[in-house]
Amino acid sequence: MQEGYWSMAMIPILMLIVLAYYGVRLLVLHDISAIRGKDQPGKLKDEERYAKEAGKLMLFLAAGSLVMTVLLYFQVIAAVIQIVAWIIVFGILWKKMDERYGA
Amino acid sequence: MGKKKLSFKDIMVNYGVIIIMILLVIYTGFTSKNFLSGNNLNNILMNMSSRIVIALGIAGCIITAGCDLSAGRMIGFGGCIAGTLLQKMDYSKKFFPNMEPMNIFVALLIVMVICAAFGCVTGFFIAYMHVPPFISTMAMMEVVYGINLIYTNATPLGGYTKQYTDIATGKFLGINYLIWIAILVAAITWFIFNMTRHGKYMYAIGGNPQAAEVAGVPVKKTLIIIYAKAAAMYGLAGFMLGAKSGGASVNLGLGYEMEAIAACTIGGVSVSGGRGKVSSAIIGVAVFELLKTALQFLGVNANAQWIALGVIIFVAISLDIRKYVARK
Repeated sequence: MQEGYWSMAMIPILMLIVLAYYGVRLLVLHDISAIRGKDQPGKLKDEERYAKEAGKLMLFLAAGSLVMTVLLYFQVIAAVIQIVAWIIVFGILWKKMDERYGA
Repeated sequence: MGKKKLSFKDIMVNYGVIIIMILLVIYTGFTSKNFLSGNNLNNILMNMSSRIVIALGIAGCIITAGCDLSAGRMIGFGGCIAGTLLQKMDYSKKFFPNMEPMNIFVALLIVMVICAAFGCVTGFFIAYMHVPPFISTMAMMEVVYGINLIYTNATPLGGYTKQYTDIATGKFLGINYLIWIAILVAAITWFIFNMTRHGKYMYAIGGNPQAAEVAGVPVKKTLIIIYAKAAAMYGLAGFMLGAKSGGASVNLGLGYEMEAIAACTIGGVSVSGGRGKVSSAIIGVAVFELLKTALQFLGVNANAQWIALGVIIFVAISLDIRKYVARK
């Protein structure tokens, strides 16, 4: 069971690390090019706020991944329902954030 | 109107990775007697077939300055769906014990439609929610993986019907069916990229999405189609891999997305968008696959092979970015 769990949890853990890295990078370094690419056309309305809010949302998704990792241990179905719901909420929040501070 | 002469530096920047890999392949051909044998070349072509399908799917996303990290999990999902629909009746661990094995074409269609539906959702997140492609596809990777875990209960599948495994063993005009499938997919993709309005939209979006939108390109709809089409191709690749290996599990296709992105970049599909051809993806896959086989023939340690491949991916992407900066 233990070995099976770690094998299953590998992808959410990987996602957690990657998202947390980008979240912190956005919050601390305000490095928007990390997620938008260096040559993304279109100026942002407010770069600093965009970086801050995007960073928070990345950490929010990373937290979702962490919850999924834990839930996988108990119930796979619950873990999948949780991450689907979390991603939908993330998408809606991201859209709102992009409309407010994006290009 | 004379053509500008390429300097040695330009040649190395543009084709350096390919040249070094070809030299390595030639060296391996001379030092290992079986490397250039018909059997080995056929094996390489068989391995390339599913990877070409994946690379061509990802190439569409990369041309629009996107990427698709969910490819590997989609392949696994596609392979598992196909596996559950195409098991023999007398197989003791049959997933659906009372269900007759399906016609392989119907099963393939089901696999591709289901994967395309997930691709549509990814495209929707990118086009309408403005979530960057790498986050959207990473999220989809997690969702698809979870759904596959529920669907298969993390159980490995096997006991496939002969019609299904024949796809990997059967031949037409002396060429394996898997290779024919890759050729057919490449031809269709070439047609879409070069002869259709959708193909032109794709390059326009990759060049400058805002300019494309102003010019009347339906950016959102095109993005959704690109990601759905790519996901359908991953489903097909999963179907092919399942037939080849005679089994599938949730881990089928693990890491294939990275290989495909690397192959596209090595071949010349630009990660900064707007550039890339079908031939670029095929050349990239061929070079990458030849390199992997050459390393095996040279007796390089399996772990060291991963390091070598990682270095090549890093160098190829760095050179691609350098080319882009120089062009600007």
